[in-house]
Amino acid sequence: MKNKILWIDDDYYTIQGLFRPIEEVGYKLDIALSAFDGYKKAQKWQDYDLIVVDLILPISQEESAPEIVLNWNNQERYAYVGVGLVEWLLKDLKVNCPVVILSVVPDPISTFKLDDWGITNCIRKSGLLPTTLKDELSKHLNI
Amino acid sequence: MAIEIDSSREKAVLTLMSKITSITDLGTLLRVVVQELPNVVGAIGCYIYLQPEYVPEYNGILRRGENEILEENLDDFIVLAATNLDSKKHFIGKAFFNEGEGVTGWVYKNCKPQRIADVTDSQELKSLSADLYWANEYHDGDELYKPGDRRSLLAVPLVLDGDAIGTLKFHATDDKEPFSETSQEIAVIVSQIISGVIRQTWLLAEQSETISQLIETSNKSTFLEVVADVTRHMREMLGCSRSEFFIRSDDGEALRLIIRNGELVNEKSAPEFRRGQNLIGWIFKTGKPLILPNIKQFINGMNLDDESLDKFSVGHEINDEDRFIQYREDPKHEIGTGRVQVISFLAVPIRSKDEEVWGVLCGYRNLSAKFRYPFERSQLILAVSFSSTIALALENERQRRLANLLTKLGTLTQADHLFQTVTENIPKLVASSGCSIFRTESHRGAPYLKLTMTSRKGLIVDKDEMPDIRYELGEGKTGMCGRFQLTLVANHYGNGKIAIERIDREIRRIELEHPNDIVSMLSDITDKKVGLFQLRCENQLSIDERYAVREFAKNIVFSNTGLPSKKMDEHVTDRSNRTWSFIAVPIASDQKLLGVITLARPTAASPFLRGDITLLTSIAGRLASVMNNLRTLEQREQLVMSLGHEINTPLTGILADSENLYRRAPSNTEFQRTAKHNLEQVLRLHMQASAIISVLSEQSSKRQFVKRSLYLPIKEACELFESEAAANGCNILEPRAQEGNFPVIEMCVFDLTIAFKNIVHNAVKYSFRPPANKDLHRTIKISGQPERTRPGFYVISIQNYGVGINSHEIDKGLIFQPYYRGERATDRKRTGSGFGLAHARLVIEELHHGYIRATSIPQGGNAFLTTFFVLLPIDQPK
Repeated sequence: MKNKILWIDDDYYTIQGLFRPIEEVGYKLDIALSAFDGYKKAQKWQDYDLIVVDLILPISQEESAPEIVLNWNNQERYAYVGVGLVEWLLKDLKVNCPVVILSVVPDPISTFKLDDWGITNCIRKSGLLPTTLKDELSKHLNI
Repeated sequence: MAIEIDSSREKAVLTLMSKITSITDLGTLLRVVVQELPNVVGAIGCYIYLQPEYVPEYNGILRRGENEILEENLDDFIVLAATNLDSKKHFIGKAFFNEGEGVTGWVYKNCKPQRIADVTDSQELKSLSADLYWANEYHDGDELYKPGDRRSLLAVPLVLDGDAIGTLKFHATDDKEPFSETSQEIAVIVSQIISGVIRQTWLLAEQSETISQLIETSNKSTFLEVVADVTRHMREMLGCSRSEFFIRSDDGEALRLIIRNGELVNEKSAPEFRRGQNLIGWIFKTGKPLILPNIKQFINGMNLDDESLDKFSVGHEINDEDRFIQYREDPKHEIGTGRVQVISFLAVPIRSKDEEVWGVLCGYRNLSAKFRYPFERSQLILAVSFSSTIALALENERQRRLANLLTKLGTLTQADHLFQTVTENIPKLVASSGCSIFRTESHRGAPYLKLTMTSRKGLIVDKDEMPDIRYELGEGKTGMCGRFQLTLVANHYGNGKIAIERIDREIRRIELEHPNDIVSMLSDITDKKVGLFQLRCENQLSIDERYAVREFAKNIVFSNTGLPSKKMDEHVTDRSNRTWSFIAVPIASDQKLLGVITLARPTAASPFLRGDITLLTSIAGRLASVMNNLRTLEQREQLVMSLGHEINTPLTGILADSENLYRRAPSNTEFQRTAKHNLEQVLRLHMQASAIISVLSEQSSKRQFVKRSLYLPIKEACELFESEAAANGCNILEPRAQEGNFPVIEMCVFDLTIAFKNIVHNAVKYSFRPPANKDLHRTIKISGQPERTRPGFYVISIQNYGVGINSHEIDKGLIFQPYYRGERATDRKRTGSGFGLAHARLVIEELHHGYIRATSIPQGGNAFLTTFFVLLPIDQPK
């Protein structure tokens, strides 16, 4: 039991209250504020029980990023940077923990045809209450 | 009776026949006859007399001489044409012979007419047939002839259906035997032919009115109605036992049978003929085309062992060069054991006003059945008139389709749908093997053209299979200035010069002696930024020249290739040695290039024409306008979405914190009540923000649907406003049925929840605290039931007692308009965004294909019982 969640979202400081109920039951958050940050932290995906990814993300907050990360900014291939990140997590890195999309983008799985990627859940951020988020994530955690 | 004639007279006969069979106008026909006939008969001059009743358009045909003598007597014969009048001062227009008189029933003897009846005792005359009147005479002082002249006259009646309609009269100088027996026989035969041709001109004259009516009707009728009319006329006027219409397929490479005897042919079983196999250049054999050389061999008896040729057809057709070809075969002729069926057919191309072949019209006669004779020339001409009518109908149909397409484009709001509609429909207007749309995009500030949508043979190519084609401006298929096209064309342009043609408005051709002049030339012609250009050169350009061309291309944005010349060597040849014609038309607005539409088809299917460019340019213009609007909408949408994100994110944070505060507040304390109130207000704020953003962005059509219980959005709306309702002295009676009793419908949960929140909040906001005697009304009632009048729909009603809505506001739908504030609501100085009900209508009607209706019934005083009915389909339409 790692009790650790990787949350990749540049709006963390604004909406951190969303995860309060989950933190209250003993989970710790590891935050990545950009796709590149998430890329680096997800290399050790074995440390996490869950990876939560926002779709609207900046590529990097550093001067440079690897080509693979820069490619996620290709708008013709990926509607959002986070879509490229999720694809990398599930198809290239082949993470073995649940990957959940938490975003304001409505129904990205149908919209971007991500059905067969193995995304665990997709939760809409807009108007979301912390208790609702906890209910949703508890399906994938031992809460 | 066999007639032997010398070669010069035979040539004269052939010349005459060749000329008169291609004339459709009576006046022209008669003038040609009087000029050519003397050579045939061996005369020095010829007159044609017709009785007035047989002269259509009497005044239009008469050609009077300078010294004519006019006496109005319509019983007289009319001299319609004459040659070699010389000193006789004869006239054209009238003759002084009553019927049975003079040459029309008399013979001359010593310059005095004698009635046939009076000379029947003459052995010389008795030997002649009753139809042939002739005389040799000697001049004896008549002022018409010089003394000593001998004039021989030969008069032959023109007979139709047993009636003499006029007379052919020849005169000659002959000392011994003025008109030989051969001349007499030839004159008789020719008179019969001329009578037939005269009848044909009458027929055409009579039919011209019908044709005029047909053409007039074709402007008001659909294509199929016109075809039905033409089919009837082909049967009645041409005596066709069968008629067929072949129309060019969408890709322009085949002619497809679409209508036979007025009936649409099953598309799956419709025969198609490749270009080069079509009727133009072919004739039919039992419904199948045979190439002309084969038929010629067959007719010459060189291919008789081919068992499949058990039947053959004979026919007439006009080919591409308007040559008239006729095949005739003896109907009684038999080949092997097969029965010979002889069919005469007409094959006439249906041509556009640009002389492009759109199809072929065919008519058939079975010569062994009702009709004994092949089609005549006049009937062929009539068939050409029919084909013109069909062409007009096709053009009208094309204009209708164009108008529909242009209208439809204006209604589309998604770029993909827009491009798909254009790409699918253009081949139906301009036959083409492929249609592509390139859209202007940019990479690091450098514009390029990217293939966005393409169709092959009328079918849209799946995006996954679509090649990733990008061109610099003016390059490749989007213009002739790219290396690719230059290389190809270089092989086909042979004079060593570069030529640029501007073809959108006027042809402007500039030829250069040396490629180095290209830079100055290009700068000369870039007076207008968007245009259609062709650039050709024989040799590869140098690097500098390519650079110049590329710069040029950026300025003119695109150019064109392979049109609209008929010269094959000006087209592009691919690796399979097929030559192609291209059109590339810019999608441009305010001198800004938004993209390019390209079309291609093999030149074997005929090159594109200027009319095609004009049509495509009109579509491109409309497309540019719609793309501009869409781009504006997209920009607005991006702005709204960006703003929405900026507003929603902190709201979500505040919402999360508010719930955390409420959740952790000690029970039954002021702190908890305040936290709860704060949470509710933040939820309301979020709801309003979402509604406003949703209405402004007009994004509803892009939402995704899931199947959920209808109870969920209603319950959430009721819970949110429970406290506010209580504060207003009301309560909310949510549906008693539990989740399981509500239908599961296809919905967009997020939007529908906000829509119900808006409606419920509206009811809460405009509710009165009811008087004691109307305590029942203190409850806002929300209920649901299956809609009885609309199977497959479920209806939710939300009823409150309070501020009403005027009937005209309901009737005109004003209450569902953005920013609208109800007339009674303003009196009460109620607050609101003005987006709530507008959003609800958008979500319910446009997104969920349901209905929202309202009633507001006065209850006395200022109070109204207002009910909103929300009808939602269980399943969304496919």
